[in-house]
Order: sequence, then structure tokens, then C-alpha cells
Amino acid sequence: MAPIDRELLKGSLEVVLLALLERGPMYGYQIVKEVRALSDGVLDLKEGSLYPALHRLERQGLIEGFWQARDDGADRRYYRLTAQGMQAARDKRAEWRRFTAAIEGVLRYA
Amino acid sequence: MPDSPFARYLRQIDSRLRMLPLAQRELIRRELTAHLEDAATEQQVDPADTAFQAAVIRQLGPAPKLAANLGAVHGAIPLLWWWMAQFAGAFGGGLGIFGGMFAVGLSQDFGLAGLLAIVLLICAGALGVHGVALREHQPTRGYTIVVGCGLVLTAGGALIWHGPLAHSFDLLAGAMVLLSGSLMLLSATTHPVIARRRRAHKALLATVALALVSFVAPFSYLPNPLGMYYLVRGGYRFQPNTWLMNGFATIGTNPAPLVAARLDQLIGQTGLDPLDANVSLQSYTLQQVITDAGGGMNYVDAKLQYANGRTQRYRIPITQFGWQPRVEITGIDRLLTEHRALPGLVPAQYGAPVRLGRATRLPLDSAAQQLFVDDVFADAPLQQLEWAGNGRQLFFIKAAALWSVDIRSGYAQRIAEGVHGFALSADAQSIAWTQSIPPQGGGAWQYRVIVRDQHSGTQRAIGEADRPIIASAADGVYFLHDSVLWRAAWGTGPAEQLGQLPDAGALYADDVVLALAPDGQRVAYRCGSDLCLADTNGKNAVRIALGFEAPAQPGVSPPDAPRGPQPTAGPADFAQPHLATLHLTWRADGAQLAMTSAATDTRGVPELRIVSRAGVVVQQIQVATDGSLEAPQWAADNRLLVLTAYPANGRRIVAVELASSAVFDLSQPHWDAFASLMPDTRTLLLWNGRGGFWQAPLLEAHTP
Repeated sequence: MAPIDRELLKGSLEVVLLALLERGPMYGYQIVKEVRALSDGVLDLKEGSLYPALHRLERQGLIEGFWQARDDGADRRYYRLTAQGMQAARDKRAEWRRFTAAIEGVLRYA
Repeated sequence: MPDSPFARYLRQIDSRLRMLPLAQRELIRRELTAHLEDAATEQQVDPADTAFQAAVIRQLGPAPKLAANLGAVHGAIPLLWWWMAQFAGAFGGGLGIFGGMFAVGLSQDFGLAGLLAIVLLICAGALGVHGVALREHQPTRGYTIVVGCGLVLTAGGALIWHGPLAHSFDLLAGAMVLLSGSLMLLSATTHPVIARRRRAHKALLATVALALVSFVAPFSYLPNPLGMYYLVRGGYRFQPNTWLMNGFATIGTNPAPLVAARLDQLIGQTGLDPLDANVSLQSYTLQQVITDAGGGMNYVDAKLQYANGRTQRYRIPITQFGWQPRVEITGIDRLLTEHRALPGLVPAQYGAPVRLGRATRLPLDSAAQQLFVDDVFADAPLQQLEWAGNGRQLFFIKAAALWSVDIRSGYAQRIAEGVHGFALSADAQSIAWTQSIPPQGGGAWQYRVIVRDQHSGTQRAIGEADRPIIASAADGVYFLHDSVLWRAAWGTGPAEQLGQLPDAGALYADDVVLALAPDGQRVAYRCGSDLCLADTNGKNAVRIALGFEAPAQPGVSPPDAPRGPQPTAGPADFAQPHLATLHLTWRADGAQLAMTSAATDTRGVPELRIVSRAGVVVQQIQVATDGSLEAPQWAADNRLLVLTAYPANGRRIVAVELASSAVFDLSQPHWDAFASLMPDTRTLLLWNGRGGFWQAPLLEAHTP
């Protein structure tokens, strides 16, 4: 199967990250894994775009990062939704659904 | 893992993000390291495995791209810009310190406050450097650059603002300080607070900043492109009393404070242009400044208001040059010269036996009026000003052009160019002038004599002279060639030889003086350092010794004397005073001749002699203690002679009463005027090279 157009993925990255973090705090590598698993391997986040996207959401105040020690003592940085981010996640999700429904509608009868 | 692929990868990213705060860079480094370790844990490999590290790096993407994406989020600027900003900040700070040291004159003018200002300047520059150093490790701490920049700009602005009036003004220091401030400002614009803003915001900020530095003082004192353009091209116009101006274009050339200081001194005064002879100046407003980048003339347009409510817009020329000392001359400086009483000159005040009546302005067409505006010094009088007998037309030479002006209509006509001297017929219907002919084969200059009939407009060459001066009498125009006097009748006929004038050629061309008696029978001329009179055929010659050093023997030239075609007639001993100027005017009836003479130094005195037609000195009057004299004019039925004298390095219009030999000073404070007697011989025409003509009656004690 041909890979998904990167521009499509780029446009939906924000809603994907917000939706994912609704499930709880996650760190970068975990987010990559979860996305790959939940999309049956169709969506493969490039880390090169992941971290800038996370930092942008953090600057917008939708998520916040925090450090937490792993079992082996090393640190990793987790991200979680802020209150504003939760609202944004709901809004983005609804918006996305309207969008996909609209696209579906067009595709169905076109 | 100091030399592992992943460590190098992190260093590459970090070096591209060095304009970001240190904490932010550290966070990115730790997060990417944690990513590597998480991936290693997940895949159960050693994170130090170079192959594994290479795989993770491929997943993360090339270091430049990842750094650029992260930098875009955190407000980083291109690395080249950042380096340029750092350099600008460091250089600007250093320049501020250096420029501050050059402003030492501030302490001379403002004492302790000036000294504090210098210290402030130097500290401000140091703050700029400090800010750059801090930002190297902690970009958000670079705010000290902004503080330094503000201080430097304030101090620099003060230098510029107060400079023209303070002795401490040093353009170099001011320019360095302002440039320093500009560089620090540029450096400050790369601060993350600004860099993080959206592109549209940054564009808006840049536009606003450009508009401020281009059009709004004091921001516009910063070096800016528009100001640079005007400095190079010149001709910048601005209104001095508003904030809307490009200050940089005016640095060192803004004459407004200087002109204001001068005009302040003229408030409440009366005088000639731009003052009013009868109504005092009440107030003024500076409306426009026009600067010239070439270092030439600047202009200030002022609106002058007089006590009677009349207003006029007046353009004041200014020339400024040099730094130490700074030379600044305005077109109204001469009006401020102290009018001192001089020995031997009786002030012609009210009640004096000879004085001037109320001066009134002569209405003149504005275009014609412009003819009488001289340069900034207003000391280039119209040359050889002569009246037509009907008193309506005025003829003169200005900038080697011969002009006629109808005084009533203001109609001005340029008659000829390249004119050396001219003569009028009694009815002013014919006018003759000389134009130079370049020497052929190393010979002497010759002068073509041309006569024009004003009525028909035709003109013809009537001969050649070897002296530029010509003279007129009732019967024709006279000129010299090889010491021979020639005459051409007005209207028709070729020139004819009259006779040889003894010693008439023993002078340099420009020193020749020639005056014909009105009847054309007798001629007076300068012969060496003396006065000679003769019949026009050269007979009955009389020589009147004026007491100056005799001319040198033929063939003996003083070492520094100018060389002419004839054997020198200059003095043999230049340590002795010799005759500098000599002017002759026949009385209208031809019975007497008035002669003024002046010496080349203060040991000779300026004198007026009245000489009979036969050549006898009947009266000798010392006009002033020193200085030159202009041609005398017979006035008031020949009871008076009016002339311009230059005593004490100044200029005065004087009247000599022949009956008493008294000399009256007709000049008034704030006049700076030249004068010409009008054909009625009882009215003086006055002008001062600043635009207008005035006339004032010449009053004597018996005049009602």
C-alpha cells in the first residue's frame, strides 16, 4: 500500500497529538509507538516533526511538559494536556469529524 | 558518549540554536537524549551502539532540518543574522565608549553635568558590550543592550540637539555615538522576544521602525537610509518646528537654531530689508529649512511679522563650514553689527545740519526685486549703478551682465553679458559698453566697444580699447587705446582719435580712471599715482600730485607686482602706502571735479578733493580716518557730495557739506545699505542686497 501523503499527516498532526494525550501523559518515543500501533502502522510519525510539534503546542499553552525519572534513573520528558488543551482537544476532534464527514460525503457521491 | 554519532548530532543542533536561551537548548538536548534511551530500552539494544544511534538519527531527521524546525518554534533567527547582530552590538558598544571620550567638550560647557553625561555615554557603551557578552550564554539577558542603546541614543541626541549652540559640539563624536546607538538597536532587534513574533508582526514592527527613523525626531537622528540619501543628494526640506523631520539629514547642517538666535536679536528693531525702516519687527516663525549636502548654502524661510501687522516670507541664506573653529554666517549677520560712532563722522540724527528723511519702500516687481538679492554676505553691490536722466530707468552691472530696470513697472531687461564697463547718453537712448577680447599670441587683453540704440534695439561695434573703462559726455562715448583718447558720437559715425593723454597708459588695465567733462572738452584721468587733467586733444595737461609713492622707473618691476603690457606703474617701495583707489565725478556744469582717493594701508587717509576745471585743488577734505572711498555724487545743487566710505573695516554712507567741510554719517543701525543719488540730486536710493529698494530724502538744516 502506498504511504500516506506527508502533507496530509502534517495537517492532522496537531489533532492526533491532542487526542492521544487525552488518554494521559506520554513521552516522545511513546507517542510515536502509540500512533503507529493505533493506526495499524499506517501513520508513522517522523520524530523530526514530532518534537517541534510538541514544543509548538507547549508554547501555545495546550500541553505542558515535565520531567520524570525512569526505572533506571534516567529522565524522560512527559507531556500532558492543560485545561486549555483539553478543551482544544475536544474542539479539534469535533472539527476533524466534521471535516472527514464532509470529505466522506463528497467522496461517496462523486 | 562524547564522540559518538549521537553526541555530534546533538552538538550540530545546539550550535544552530545558540541564539536561544541556554535552558531551552539544554531541554532540547536532554529530550533528544531521552528519546535515544527510550528507543534503546524498547529495542533492547545498547544506546552506545553506533549503528543504533545512526538509525535513531535517521528517524529524527537531519540536524539542520530538526534545528530549523525547533528554532522556528522558539523564535530563533538565522545563524548568520545572529552573528551579525552580535558583531553589531559589540562594535556599537565599543563605538559608544570611544565616541563618549570625544565628547569631552561637554564638561567645558556644562561642568559637572557634562562630565556625568560623558561617564553615562561610556557606561552605556559598556552596557552594550556587556549585553552582547551575556547573550552569548543567555540570550534573554541581552536586554542590557537595549538599555545601553537607549542611553547612547539619548546622549547622542543631546549632543546633536544642543550642539549648534554649545561649544562642545563635535560632529564626529555625535556621529559615532549615534552610529553606536543604531548598531546596538539593530543588535537588540534580534532578541528572542522580537524574533519569536509572527512574520506579519515583525514586518509591521520593521515598517514602524523605518517610518520612525525616517520621519520622526528624535528617532530620525539615527543613521537611516532616507537621511543618507538626502545627505548625499542634498536639497532636503523640512519644517524646523515639527517632529516630522529626518534628523540625520540635518546633522551638522541644520541652520534653524542659528537663524533663530540671530532673528531674536532683531526683534523690536527697525532697519532695511528684511527689517522695515519705520515699523519694528514683532515676531517671526521659521517655516522651512532647505539644506545642501554639498556644504554650500543652506536656507531658512522665515515668516516675519511687523508691528503694523504686515507679514512677509523671507528666505535667509546661511553658510556653515569648518569644525574648529566652526564658521557660521547668515544673510542677516550684517544687520546686527554694532553701529558705532566713528571719529570725524557726525551722526546725521534729527536736528543735524544734514540728515536723511523718512525712508519709504519703493514698490518693485518681485522678479526685478530678486535681481537685487546678493549672496549670503550681501556685500556684492551692484556695479556702476547709473540712472537715466528721466529718473525712471536704472542701469547696472551684476555678475558681468548689464541690466536695465524700469523703477516704476519693475520691468528688468538684460542687455548684454560679459560687460566690463558701460556709459549712457544723456537721454539714455544710447548705451555703450566694453567686452573683453582674449589676447592673441600672448598679447594683452583688448576690449570691444559696443553701442546699442535702445529705441531700435540695434547695436554696433565702434572700436577697440586697451582699457576696459569708457566714459560718456553729451557728444559721445570715449575710450582709450595706446594712451590715445578716442570718441564715437552717439548714434552714428565711427570712432575718431582725439589726442594722446600723458601717462594714461602707465597703469594696469583695471586701475584706469577716466572722466569726461559734460561738455566733452576736458578730461580727467588717473596718471600713475596722480591725477591729470587735459583737453580731450591732450593739450593743456595738468598733473596734480596726490602725495603717494611715485611709480617705479620703466622696466623695474617690484617683485610681487602684477605684470601688465606696460612698464610697471606700481610703487617702487611696497612698504610705503600707495594710491589704491581713485574716483572722479564732474559737476553737472563742468566747472569742478570731485575726486576721492584712498591709500593701500592705514597710513594714507581717504580724502575728497575738489578740483577746478583748470586743475587747481580748491578744497581738500579728509572723509574718514582710514578705509576706501567710492565715487562721489554731487547733491543738492552742488552743496553736498554723497559717497560711500569704508572706515574701521565697515561701510558708511556719508554726506560732505562743502561749505563747512563737515562729514555727516547718514547710515543707520540695521541698514547695511548702499546708496545712489537719484537724478533729482535730493533723494537717496538705498538697498542692502536683501531684496528691496528704499528711498529717503536728503535734508539740510534749511530744508523745511
